[in-house]
Amino acid sequence: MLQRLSRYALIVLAILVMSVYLPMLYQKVFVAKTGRTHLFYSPVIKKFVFREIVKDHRFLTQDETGRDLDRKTFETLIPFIYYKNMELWGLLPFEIDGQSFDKETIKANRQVIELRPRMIADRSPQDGIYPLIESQPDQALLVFPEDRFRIADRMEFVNADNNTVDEGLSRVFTGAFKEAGFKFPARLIAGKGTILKPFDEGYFVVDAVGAVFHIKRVRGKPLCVRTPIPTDLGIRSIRISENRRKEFYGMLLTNSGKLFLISYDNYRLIPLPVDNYNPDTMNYKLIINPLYRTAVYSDKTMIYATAMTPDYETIAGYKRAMQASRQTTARTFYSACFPFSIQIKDHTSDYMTFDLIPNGWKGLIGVGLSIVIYLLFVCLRKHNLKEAWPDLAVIALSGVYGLIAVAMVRPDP
Amino acid sequence: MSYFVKEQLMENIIEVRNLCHHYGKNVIYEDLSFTVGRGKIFGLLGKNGVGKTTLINILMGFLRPTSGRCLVLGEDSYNLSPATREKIGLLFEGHLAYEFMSISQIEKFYSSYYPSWDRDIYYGLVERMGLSHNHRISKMSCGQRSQVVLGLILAQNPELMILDDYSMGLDAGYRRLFLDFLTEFVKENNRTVFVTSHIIQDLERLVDEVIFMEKGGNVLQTSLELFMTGFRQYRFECNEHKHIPANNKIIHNVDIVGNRCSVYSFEPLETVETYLEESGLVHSGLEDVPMSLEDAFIGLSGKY
Amino acid sequence: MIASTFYKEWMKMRLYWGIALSCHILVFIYIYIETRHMFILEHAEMVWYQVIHIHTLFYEQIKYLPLATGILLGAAQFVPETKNHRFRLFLHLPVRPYVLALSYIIIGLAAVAVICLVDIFLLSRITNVFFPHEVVVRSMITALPWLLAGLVSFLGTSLIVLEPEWPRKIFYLAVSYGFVWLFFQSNIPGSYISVIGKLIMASLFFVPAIFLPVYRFRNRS
Repeated sequence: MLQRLSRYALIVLAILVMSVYLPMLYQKVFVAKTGRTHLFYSPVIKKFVFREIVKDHRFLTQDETGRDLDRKTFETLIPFIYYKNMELWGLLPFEIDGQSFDKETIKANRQVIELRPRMIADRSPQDGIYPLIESQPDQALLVFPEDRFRIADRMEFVNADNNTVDEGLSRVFTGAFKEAGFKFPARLIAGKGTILKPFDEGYFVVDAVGAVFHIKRVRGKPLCVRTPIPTDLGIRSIRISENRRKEFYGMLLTNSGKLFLISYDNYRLIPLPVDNYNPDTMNYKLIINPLYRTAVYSDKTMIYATAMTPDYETIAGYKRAMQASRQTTARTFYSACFPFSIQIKDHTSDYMTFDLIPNGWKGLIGVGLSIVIYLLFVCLRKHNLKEAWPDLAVIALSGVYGLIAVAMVRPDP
Repeated sequence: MSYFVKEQLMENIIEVRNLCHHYGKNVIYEDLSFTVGRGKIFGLLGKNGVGKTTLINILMGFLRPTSGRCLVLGEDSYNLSPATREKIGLLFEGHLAYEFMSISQIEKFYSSYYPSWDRDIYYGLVERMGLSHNHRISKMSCGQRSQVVLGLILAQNPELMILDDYSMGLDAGYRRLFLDFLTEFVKENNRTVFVTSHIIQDLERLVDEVIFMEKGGNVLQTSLELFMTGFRQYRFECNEHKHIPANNKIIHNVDIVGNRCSVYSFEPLETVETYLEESGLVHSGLEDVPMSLEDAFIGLSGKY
Repeated sequence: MIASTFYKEWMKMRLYWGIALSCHILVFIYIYIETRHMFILEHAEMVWYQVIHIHTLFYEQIKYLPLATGILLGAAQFVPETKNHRFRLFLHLPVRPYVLALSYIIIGLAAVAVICLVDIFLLSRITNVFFPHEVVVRSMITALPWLLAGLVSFLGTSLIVLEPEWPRKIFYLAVSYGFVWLFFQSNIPGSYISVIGKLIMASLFFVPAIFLPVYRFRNRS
């Protein structure tokens, strides 16, 4: 009894290890990784255009009607993206809809902000302690402070020089929070803790009851504002990205998957299109140019885009199944061979995983084949079929992994 | 099972019944049977390759026989309970021991496992070496180590001792010491010993009964005394290099060196003489030659 | 009997355990000196930026140490038991072999675990001198899979050494190596917090697995 238990413990371990590494190895050898499709709204032809990687590093460049485009045409159709090439080709300034655009205008009115799954607060380990950068330094560049803050039952600053709490500073800032009506502890702290940005907008902090506060360090003193952002949104994550255009502070994602821009206009929330958007698997990119706003989001298989006016009114939408995701022989064989795999890493999160991912009904082919091979072996060796059923059950549940494990850890007579 | 039969079985310290063992297609023995009773010293003898090591491994519980039964103190040898193992002392070929321990450490370790441990017996033997109690076993010679191992087995006070090739690596002095201590111990405590050795002349001093193994599983089990009186070597001269009949009921084995012939038999001289004459063999000077156990062993099993 | 089992295992392992512990302590002394030096070379908030924001691991030197310790102690404990057919001594002791094997494993795991606890203690103390407690917590979470790798590598080594036959040994080596490697897949501090429970549960399968080689040794035919 004990030796049977022991044998199956070994078999389980072997199956676990194989289901992590064999699919990984297979993918490395047989499944080529393909790049993403690049999708844009052309302000010139008022249609979506895209460049997609197909087999063997070749591109498919088309507009949404299926018309093929050569590289130069493609780039001139999205001049706000390729304005540097336009300049090289002597095509600056250019006119669209009666408006003229030169290099300076384009640069001043371009912005891209992205929300990748990894950037969502619960998909990466959070630092927990942050630098509150002086937002009005008496010099051109931003400077790191000597302290870092945390917000638990109060706002506490820890000085890096001596690794102790700066009581004075902590009291002052906590007081400012309390005065603004903050309820400790903080649920979420969002900001960009780097000096590699044009200026500093501090942090957006969600308090214990869901109210959003905006805090900055102004000449060493706290500036704490309670924003009118509704408290019942169910905020999941906020991404702050300081930009000279000063149109919005950043993006706000709710638990229900709604996405907003937090505008500079008294923190008004601007809703963004989120049809078919899954924040846990898709990159969301907002491309801003002088004429349009384009929201593009995609995962491994589908790409979606919505073109909007500068007031974020939807004009057009487009979706496409990317070529790169199409089923190949290698992928079919993969699903047939491995009934499931154990995934330990996920590019959409900084956290490790240890999840069993089934490979769909095709996996039953591999399971069936493994059972047949095992039965053949049992018959050829004239083993007792009645005693073989536990191993058969293992193979039925785990396919090729079980077959290998059972073959390597054969029962002792 | 009735009480009487069970008692009888228990008096058989080792009971081997219809034992068969194969290594793949290679048959070692079929239908091997013998018993070992209480209070005697048994020697297992046989040529290389008859399966002595296999049998010892089965007896010691490290090999499971293909079929048949091997009962030691009433239990299957490969599945002995801890209580039974407590009553069995094993000496492994090469005098295996935990060499990383010292003389005193190893005694302290083993004593905790055996309730009837007698440390005086251990130290009585071991102190003869004149080494410090902290002397590591790894730093000892073969002979010194064998003393430690023997001491541990005797101190355990087991009902049965199985000693596999106790003489390996020992010189004459250590072998004699070993035998003296062992015989003394067995006599005093009515213990049973099952022993193998390549040095047959030692066994002659030690054993009460012999078990001769032949290839395939045939076994001759008899007391040493009976064997030595019953199995005889007869020598004669013969110039005819005619085929001398052997491997029959009268003549067990033949050995020819020049014109001197030796025949081995369980029969008395007269019977053998009559048989030779009836075979038409011209011979002279037929005489009964005394043998040592080693001579008898070679006579029984042949030189090759 | 328990005391003498512990005593014998300690006899086998004590030298190697002492060497391993010393190595760990020396490495931590080195980490302390290096970290202190970082703070001398640069402004404190720059070091904090590197460690907290860029995720520089200032204690990476201990990453593979528990793994090596597990292998060393597994070998120290079981090689003397198995070389030259010595495992027969183990099997003949008047104790059920599985009980004895389990007690050896527990003693060995405890030996490795003590060193892991020393690691956690020293890591937290050193980190606490220079960094805020968020970094202390995060460094302990980051080091946890490395310490678990030490315990698992001990179990894997025991499994491999106890197995009497070579083809199986190699298979067990592949399985153990593959499993242990799961603990080193990410350098992002704190990233293992999501899976540490599952990994611990999966690692527990190594304990009953150890009995199979014991049984196979005993019942070879």
